[in-house]
Amino acid sequence: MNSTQGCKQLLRLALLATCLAVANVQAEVVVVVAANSPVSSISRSDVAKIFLGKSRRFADGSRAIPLNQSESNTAREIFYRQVSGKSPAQVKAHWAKLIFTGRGQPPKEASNSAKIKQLLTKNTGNISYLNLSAVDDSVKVLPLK
Amino acid sequence: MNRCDKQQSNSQALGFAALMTIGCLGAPPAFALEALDPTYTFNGFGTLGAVYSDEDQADYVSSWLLQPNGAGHTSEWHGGVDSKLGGQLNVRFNEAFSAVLQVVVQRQEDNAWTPEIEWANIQYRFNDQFSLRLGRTVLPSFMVSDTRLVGYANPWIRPPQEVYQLNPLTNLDGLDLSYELEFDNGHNTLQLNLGQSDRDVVQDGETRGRKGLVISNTFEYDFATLRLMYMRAKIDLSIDLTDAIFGAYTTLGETLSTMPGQEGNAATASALGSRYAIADDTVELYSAGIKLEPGNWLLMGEWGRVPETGALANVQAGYATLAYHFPTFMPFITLAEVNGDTPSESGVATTGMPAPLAEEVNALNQGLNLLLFQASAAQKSITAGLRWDCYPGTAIKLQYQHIEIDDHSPGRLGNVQPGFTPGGTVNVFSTTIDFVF
Repeated sequence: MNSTQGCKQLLRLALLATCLAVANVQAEVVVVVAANSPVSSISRSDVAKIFLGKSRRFADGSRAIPLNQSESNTAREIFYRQVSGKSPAQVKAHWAKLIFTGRGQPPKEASNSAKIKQLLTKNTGNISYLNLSAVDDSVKVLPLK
Repeated sequence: MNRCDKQQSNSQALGFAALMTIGCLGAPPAFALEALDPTYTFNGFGTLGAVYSDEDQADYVSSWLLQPNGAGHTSEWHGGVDSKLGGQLNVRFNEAFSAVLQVVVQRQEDNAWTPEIEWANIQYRFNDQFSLRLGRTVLPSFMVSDTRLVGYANPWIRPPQEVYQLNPLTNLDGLDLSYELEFDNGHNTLQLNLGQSDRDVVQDGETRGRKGLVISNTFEYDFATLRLMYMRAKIDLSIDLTDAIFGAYTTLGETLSTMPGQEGNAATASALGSRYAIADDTVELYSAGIKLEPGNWLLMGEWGRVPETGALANVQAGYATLAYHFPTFMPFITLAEVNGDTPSESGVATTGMPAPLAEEVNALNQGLNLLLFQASAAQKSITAGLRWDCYPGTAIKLQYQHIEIDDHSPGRLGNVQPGFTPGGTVNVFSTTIDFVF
């Protein structure tokens, strides 16, 4: 093995490592809507508001219906941390507060990512989140402003 | 609210709730007919707790008005101070119409674990801004009044009693109108409650609140919440022992008025009979609260004031809580103080009275001052606690409270014994398992 080859290999490894690291840190969980939804982007705080029951609408005024992954799905924990900074315990306590004011119910839960995608296509008002690896043509990834 | 006027007992309250629910199910307005596909959800909450107090001449209670005894005098450890179980049925008829029924089992004023209807209301949401609730709703005295009984939703084992026990009552029968406004990063809720409340209280007593009015405004901006509240109601508080004292002054006034030279004392006695009685008296409560949650920190404080109402002297209270969220642990510390006045009542003078009567009058004056002492609340406390979220929906909490009781009051303690000496300190250790499902 000569030195050029060695360098290239090292570079490839470094690139791969960087990609993996980036994927791990940021891009793992993405916010999604149905592919035909009119919504094309959303702010992080609006996502947080919709998923914490503080807002019922998208910025354009149309009705937003959040869908949660199941409690055991790690995407749920990562998602809530990303958009609201809250731990699973804090989110649970937040919802307990809303439920027992008699003024709200937490988002409906879907058992897995396939189910989420299926529900998204049924109603363009639905909004959820997926592991990047589960994203396909049926959904649209919303970049967070 | 004629229907509410007839409502005297809890069984009638149950009937009232059932009637409203049936009314809603059986005769839905025409516009709701086609969309009537009710969805039901059931949520529950509960607390299993034990409290230890080192004061053996009074009891540590969670409510001076609604809990007859607790930890300390009755037993060093007590399981009935915080323990409770609640269930809440939510019915959603459509986007606009919904109903809530919340039933809570906890130890009541008569020491029995009787289920009570905490809430039973129907809600109609006119649009994103306006919503109306009719029936039994929360009495929103303070920031976490909504979840006052839901330990899991709160950082502490119980909201700081110095402030929260300024108003021990938790619900109201009437209407609740709320107006919400959403801003970029903020949310404002203006709420109006009108209604009444009947409640059995300790020592076989009862309270009756009429013409209740509550105006509150909650403003949330980013990580900050600010709340202001004003409450007013006409109340009657009737407890046999205290009524006996007020009645005795009235009788004394009548007796003295027939005795020559005692006209002045007669007038004093008659005046005392009504001076301290709580009968159709206007009670007011002001409160303000702030909550800041930057990152993992929680800083929360509330203040409240109740101006003098009959035997309940002018009282002010406040607390501040600082907490930090670790992934599953949350340590917190609370400083709290309640500063109630204790009126010193000289009573009726005994000059010129025959000795046996003077003796009785002196005893009566002592009884009145004892009552004023017991009705007063003044104490300071520091609480250090830890919440551990051991499982989703379950938290274990430990807290230690060190209380300095004022020397003119039993503080927030209940079931005060003759041997109780004010001015001391009380150490209280509490632990609970709080859960929601």
